[in-house]
Amino acid sequence: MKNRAFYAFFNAELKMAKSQIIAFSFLSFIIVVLTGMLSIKALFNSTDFFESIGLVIWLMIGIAATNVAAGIGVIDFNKRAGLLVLSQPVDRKLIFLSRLFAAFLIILLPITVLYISGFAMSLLLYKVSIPNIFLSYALSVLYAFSFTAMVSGISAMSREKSTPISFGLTFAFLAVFVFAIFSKFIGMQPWFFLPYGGLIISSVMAAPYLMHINPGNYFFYYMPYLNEALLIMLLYLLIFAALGIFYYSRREL
Amino acid sequence: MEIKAVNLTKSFKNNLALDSISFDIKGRGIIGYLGPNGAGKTTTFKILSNLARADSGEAFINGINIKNYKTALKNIAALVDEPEPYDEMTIREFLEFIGKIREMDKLLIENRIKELGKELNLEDLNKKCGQLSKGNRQRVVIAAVLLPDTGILLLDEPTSGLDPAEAYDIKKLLKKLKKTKLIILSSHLLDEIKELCDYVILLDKGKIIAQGSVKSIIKKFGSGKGEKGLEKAYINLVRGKT
Repeated sequence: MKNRAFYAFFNAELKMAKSQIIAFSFLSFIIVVLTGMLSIKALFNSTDFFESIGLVIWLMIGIAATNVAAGIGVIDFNKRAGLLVLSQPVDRKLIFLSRLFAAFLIILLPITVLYISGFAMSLLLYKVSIPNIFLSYALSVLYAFSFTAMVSGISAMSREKSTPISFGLTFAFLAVFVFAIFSKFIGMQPWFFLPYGGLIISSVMAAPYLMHINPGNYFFYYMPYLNEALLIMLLYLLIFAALGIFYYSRREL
Repeated sequence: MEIKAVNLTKSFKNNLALDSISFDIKGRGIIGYLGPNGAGKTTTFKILSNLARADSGEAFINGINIKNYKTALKNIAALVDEPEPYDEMTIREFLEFIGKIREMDKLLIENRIKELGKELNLEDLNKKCGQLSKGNRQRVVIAAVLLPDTGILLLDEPTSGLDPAEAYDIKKLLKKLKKTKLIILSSHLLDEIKELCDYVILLDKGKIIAQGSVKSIIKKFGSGKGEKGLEKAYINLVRGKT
């Protein structure tokens, strides 16, 4: 019987995010096409193109996950609908998890569009497939889930939706500066930072050319190993999902 | 049907909202829950509907401790602090959503939506809730509260935002429901309380300052008869002139 309540929240989340799914999927396609055009103009070789596509996917996941997940933990607490919804005999953990799983599903579509259009562009421009495409896709999905969990966890601790949005977008856009500061100035890998783990998406696509240390690259001086990246992403996923459930269950209206 | 509060205490930062409130309401009918703004009415309703937790004390719904909210709330439906439906959903979608999270049977949800649509004069069920006027949104919210047909209802100013004709319909409906349900009604409208309630509990500054039948409250604390009598009793009680 619990499943009915779970699916009710799950479906409601999907319905409310319908326009976002379409918008992000459409934008994903456009961005890959534009990256392809840039590759022609800048005379990229195939490795440069794969690396660029990987970075586009990495960045796009951060933006899409932020938008999709920012409302999960806060929507019922800063909108008056929560006064009705949270007074129902439903386990709050179940509400949070159903919305989180819906967000996971929502984000799969733009990621899939990115990979299919990237694969098509690769065949069109270079007559080769993207290396390690399935591994990269799996890592993208894990990165997207981790990013979604992180933003939803922050959302459950926030008063307004703008807080998780600010965190998520700052993580997504300013990640490269964090990499540069920690790598070049402090001399350590930013292993504590989720987007660092997400760099594996681009790294495996361009293999075997991207190395763990790239001395000539200011922003991507360090690249994570696969096991490091997996550990970072899994830790973020588990820690923030747990934090989200904890705060969502205990919050008052 | 029973709602019981035992020494409920709740504070927000340094502000004591509820100061060891206790009551035990049984049976059917409408109980008026009155008091000035900030007296603790909404806070009590929030604790009884699991929207807030008491700092100390306990609450029971049909004998089930509210700490076991997944079971306790099956017996109750609450309209607390001017809730609103999701703007993105249609009226039908929102009501179906509430029915599903209440684990109601699909056919039962459909039948209840039909019944409530008639009783509450809900307009086009396929209209988005975000496009509705304040009064229509309030009627959708009331429909969502009545949908599961629970034995106990907590209604915090249900006629707020409704025009006189709409308020009349709701009062008529409440008169019908009071025969089979236990309703706790919070309202600032004393004529509404007088018209609907059999018993009243009066709060001020987080404490119960009086309770009894409407007649006994008027007799004890007011002067005169009818609305004026209840009004006088209310003013005397909250201004400490008793």
